[in-house]
Amino acid sequence: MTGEFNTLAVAVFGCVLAVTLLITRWAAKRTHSATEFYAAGRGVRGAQNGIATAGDYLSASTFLGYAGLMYLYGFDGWIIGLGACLSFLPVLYLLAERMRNAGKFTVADVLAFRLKARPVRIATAINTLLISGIYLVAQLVGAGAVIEALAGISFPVAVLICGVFMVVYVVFGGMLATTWVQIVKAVMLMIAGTIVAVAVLAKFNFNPGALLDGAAANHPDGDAIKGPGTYLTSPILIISTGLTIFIGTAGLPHILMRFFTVPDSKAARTSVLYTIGIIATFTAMVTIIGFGARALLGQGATEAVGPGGNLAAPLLAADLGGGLGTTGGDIALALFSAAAFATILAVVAGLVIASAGAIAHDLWRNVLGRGSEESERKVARIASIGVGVAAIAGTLAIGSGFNVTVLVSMAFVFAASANFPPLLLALLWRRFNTAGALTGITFGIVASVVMIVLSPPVWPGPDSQGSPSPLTFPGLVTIPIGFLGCWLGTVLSRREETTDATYDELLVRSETGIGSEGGPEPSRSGRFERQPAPVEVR
Amino acid sequence: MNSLAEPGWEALARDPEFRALVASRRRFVAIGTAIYTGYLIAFLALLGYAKDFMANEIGGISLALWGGLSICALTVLMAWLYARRAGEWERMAQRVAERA
Repeated sequence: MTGEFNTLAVAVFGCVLAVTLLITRWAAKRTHSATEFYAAGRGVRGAQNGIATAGDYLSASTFLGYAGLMYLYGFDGWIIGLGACLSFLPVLYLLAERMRNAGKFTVADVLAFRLKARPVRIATAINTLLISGIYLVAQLVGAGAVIEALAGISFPVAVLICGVFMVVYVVFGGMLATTWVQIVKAVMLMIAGTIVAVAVLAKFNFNPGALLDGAAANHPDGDAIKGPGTYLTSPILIISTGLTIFIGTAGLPHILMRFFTVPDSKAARTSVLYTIGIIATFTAMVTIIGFGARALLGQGATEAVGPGGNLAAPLLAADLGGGLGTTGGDIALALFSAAAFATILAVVAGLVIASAGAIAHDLWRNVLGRGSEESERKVARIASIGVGVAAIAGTLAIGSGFNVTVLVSMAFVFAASANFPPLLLALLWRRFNTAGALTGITFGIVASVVMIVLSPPVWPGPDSQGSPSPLTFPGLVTIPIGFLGCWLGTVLSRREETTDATYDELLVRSETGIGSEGGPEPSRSGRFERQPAPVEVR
Repeated sequence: MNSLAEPGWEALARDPEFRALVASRRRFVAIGTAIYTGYLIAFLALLGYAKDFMANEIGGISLALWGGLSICALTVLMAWLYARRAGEWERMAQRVAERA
């Protein structure tokens, strides 16, 4: 696994790229208007969107990363995954249906509905760009490293290929191509994961206790890896990490944006139910893969799996196929790699759309007030290319050795502390106003930056001891600060007449779906019929 | 906005059935959110402050791992409970919408 050129893996990678291009070609014929570009024409079925949303969540850093962390640290590697699994409950209970009913293309639409559109859009768009941009670079760094190791394509070339393809999907196929690439990938990933998990269990006669004992016997920490405390060493670190991921996942713009692709709030709800089914299964399954990798590969593979353990799952697949170098092992590795490649490509495409929406829909169209629905789509395509080029440049600049934990942490902490609080309060709190949203976003971002700078991966040097804050994921501190900012800004500023009046409208819209984009519209006769989405922009 | 028929939002917001819908849903959501958030915090706190207790095994599997599996199960269970109630809210919303 040192990254020598692997013909079979490169061929598989080529096949995955070819399939995604076919999907993009098909989608391109159906992507003309802005609604089609950002929201796949609101024609995605609930079940399809649910699988695609699960795909958005199952990035390389979750799928390969969680298995790797569990290989390295045992149980503690699972805590992040558990927080993320549960985070789809607040998405279901609080956000998915309401957002579908009240929004159009972006998270900022929901806030701009009742607050002063211009300042709130600027702040929310910047926030979306920060979260998606940072997460995009983190994913690309991981992608380049994984492809380099599996296929033997050098890091810069791998990043370039991923970057170019993600831009191609988005520019030509928009949200429809992205959605279907996600669906294909999620299905491949779940099949590959299930086969590996069942094969691992079969080796231990379907006795999970024996599997755990086998893993413990092969780990220097022994039985300690079955319980907590090997990776997240202090109680406060465990609580903060779990909470940051729990709230942060529910505030990721590229995931929230998915709920605009379905026809109505019922389909949005169905989506989350499918997502939860897949992710709960995945989260339970990843323990078998993670502990299985430890039990079957042993301590000897520590170097081969890489610093974050990302290659533990692919190596486990090869081992189950008969071992590296054997025909069976190489085929198993190549097939598993196909799922990994598809994962990488799909997630980055979703992030590009979210960023392009913030630039073209929020900043260019609504803040600057330029252009029409028609030209917005063109600008969104140009923005996608710009985001792609910037992300590739950023990734190549920081290089494959960069510790992506800092970037992933930043994305989740921003989402949890600066995106989730104002969004939730705009939907649920009558008194909430523009000043509150702006203060909340500012407090959230500033607190996140300060706390991350003071955390172990950054202060006083990379991965150092003795930093002022022990919290790699500082949500425990920054989420309350984000909410506090929203509250302070609101109560210290004057009541906004319009904010108060539009609350009724947003409440009725979000709860009933009356007047939602592409949903049932009251017609003259008082009866409901489906109408094309109105083109007027608030 | 749809200029054909702009519904009276304030009147709709005062509609008794709409009030009932909002109250019923908010109550369910508030209780549900308190339960799953509380469960997660309690689980994380046990992992942190009762490390040795969570390392005890039942059936060869540590309490920490059982707890993690219970988080997966809780997610599915609470999603199912929400979906079961959602049909009722949908019918209420439909009736409110018909009066719009």
